[in-house]
Amino acid sequence: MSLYDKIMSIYPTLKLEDFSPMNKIIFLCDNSDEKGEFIKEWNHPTLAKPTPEQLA
Amino acid sequence: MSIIIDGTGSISGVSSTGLTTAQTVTQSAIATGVAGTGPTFSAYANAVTSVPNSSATVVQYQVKAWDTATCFNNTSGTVSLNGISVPAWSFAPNVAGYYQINAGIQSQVGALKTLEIYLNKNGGVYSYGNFTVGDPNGYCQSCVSNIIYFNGTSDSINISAWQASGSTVNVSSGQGQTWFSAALVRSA
Repeated sequence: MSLYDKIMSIYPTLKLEDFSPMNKIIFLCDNSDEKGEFIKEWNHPTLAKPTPEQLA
Repeated sequence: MSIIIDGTGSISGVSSTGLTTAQTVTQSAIATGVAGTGPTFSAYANAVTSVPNSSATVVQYQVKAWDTATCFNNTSGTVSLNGISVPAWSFAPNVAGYYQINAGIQSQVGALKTLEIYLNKNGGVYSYGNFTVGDPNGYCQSCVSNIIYFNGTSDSINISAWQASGSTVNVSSGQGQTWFSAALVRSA
């Protein structure tokens, strides 16, 4: 399951545009360094950044 | 050392405003670090980069066409090149100056789906490229270019792809499809 899918399962009300790199409300990245995806920026005004336990 | 002009000889190729012919200073006489002999590289992908849905993913360029000063890291790990710690799939020139940067990516992301490309400097988005929409066969080709200053001691750049097709897609391999190049155009 991708990081996007995990976050959407926690917060189903999020929209695709919330993940756009243009506005960086939620900015997901993968440095292709074999460490996988991570949340680079979380700027949502009302929803809290998921914890590692929620994303595990 | 003294230079004596005693009126018995002649000097050609020099005017009051400076050198008059390009032949007076040859490319081979230009020192390393001056535009013309500074670092340049070109690389392309010979394997795909998997890009998860809605996650900006650094594009992998495995094959170097050239890398004159060994400044491009074509591996998935951070390495030391010329004393600079260079992140995966990144270019970090060891000569300070202004570099022309070019990159392109291709993907079959899906008809009317978007493929976006970014140029990252030191881990942050520096330049947005064009956002292309898939043709009827779903293919997109996105490119980015800019002239960027590097300090020659720590600055690095890499390329990211982003898509929101709803599932993971691959950035294509191939020298004509997914490429990344840079060259010094003016020293600092």
